[in-house]
Amino acid sequence: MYVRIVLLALLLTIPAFLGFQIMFLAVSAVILAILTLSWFYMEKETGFVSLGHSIPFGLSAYLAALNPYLIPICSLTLLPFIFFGKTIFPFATFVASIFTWHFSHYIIIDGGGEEGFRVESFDPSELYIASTIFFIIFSIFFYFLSKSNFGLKVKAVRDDEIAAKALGINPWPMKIVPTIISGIISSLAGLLHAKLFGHVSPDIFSPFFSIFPFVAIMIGREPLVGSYLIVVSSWFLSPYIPEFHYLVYALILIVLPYVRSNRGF
Amino acid sequence: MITLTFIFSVVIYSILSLLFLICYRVCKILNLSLGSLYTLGAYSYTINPLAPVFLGIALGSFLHFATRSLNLSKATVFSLGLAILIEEIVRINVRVQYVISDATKIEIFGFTTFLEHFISFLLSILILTIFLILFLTRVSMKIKVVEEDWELAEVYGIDTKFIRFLLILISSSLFCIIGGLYTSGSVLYPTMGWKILIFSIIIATVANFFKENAYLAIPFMSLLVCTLELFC
Repeated sequence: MYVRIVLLALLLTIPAFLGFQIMFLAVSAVILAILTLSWFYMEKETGFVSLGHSIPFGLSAYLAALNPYLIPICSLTLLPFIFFGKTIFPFATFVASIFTWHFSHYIIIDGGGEEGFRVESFDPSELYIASTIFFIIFSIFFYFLSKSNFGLKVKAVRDDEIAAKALGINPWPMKIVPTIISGIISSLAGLLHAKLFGHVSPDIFSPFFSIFPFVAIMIGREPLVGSYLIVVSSWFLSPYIPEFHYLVYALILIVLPYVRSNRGF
Repeated sequence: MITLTFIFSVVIYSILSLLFLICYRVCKILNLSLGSLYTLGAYSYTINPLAPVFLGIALGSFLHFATRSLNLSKATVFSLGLAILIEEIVRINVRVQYVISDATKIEIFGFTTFLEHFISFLLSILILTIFLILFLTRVSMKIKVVEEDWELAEVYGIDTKFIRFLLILISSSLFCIIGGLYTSGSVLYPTMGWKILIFSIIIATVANFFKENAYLAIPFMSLLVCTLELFC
């Protein structure tokens, strides 16, 4: 436990002293770690495996360019899919994310389309501090939420909905509230991502972002470690194999069904 | 030209959605690799017109043997991994984002179209007709039993694994072949298969609400979706 905390603290602090390029890479990894954290909370607590977290993530980035006042609605975008049930949920969210990816090419309002939109960017060093603080706060928040009375009810519904009902727990709030919380945090990650790059294009809805949290958890076990591993390895190998991260995604998805337990699928 | 393209699209989307729905209902797999097989067919056709046939058979067989012991969800995750792998291998090999595929122009009833599009249309009509004929024979009864209850079908002595293998093989091959033929004369890019897959899923999902008449509802759903696409 202590080793993990020290390792995570090092991952969060060391890049700040290693020059602009490394810090930029670290901000990107921490922002994606926030996205992964929001995904992991939903998967771990409710058992719903989302392959569509790119929707709140990308939509908030788009709305940062178009109309920031509408960003709160991004947190509700995953809500309709929980009515499909746990088995269909991963595929329904994935198809929706691919649909959004294609549809986003047709969003043209004074620019847009394939080119995307310009977003007012922030200084990466400020974003580094902000995203690190957000990551720590959300990690602590999820830890205590998981241990709370509400968190135990959510887990009870996840493990056995009928038994939870028999105990007088209404299952729907236990699915809806974690989905909204996860949506809010992934929307925030999307907003930070847009502010980092100063630009948003349809690629933000691509399978890279929709499957990223899933793969990050599979290879890193921790949102931060997994995000760092993917971002750093993709960056180092991109001059040789630009599609490296997608190949990793594919291999993990191919091998995963043989090694993963039935929870979530 | 628009009329002819529209008719071709309705028929081709019908057959692709039908294949997707059969995979889901009979083979118990949401085969997400079909879109990438369409892309692979399109690219391989530019190298050799027979390549889509062999690639479809090879990858269909691989998918069947790799997923035969997995449940629906795990088989679907596997097919998604395969889809991404195929797409990235295409991207690594092609490198250039856009490739223009050659095609032969012909004239049908005063309309100019591509020969390859016409062949894919005829092939789709042929498969739809064969399927309709099968729907009225004993063979379809076997498929229906497998669809309804896998274990019961095995009790009746039906070779469920062979039916699954055959259907995955046919669907993979046809997606590859139609991808090769129907994209002739157009610009190819590695993500083109996703659009086809989404359309097939939408048509198959809506048709699936008709339960036992789902297969018959597919052409009508395809007509509806293509009409909407035309006006949008």
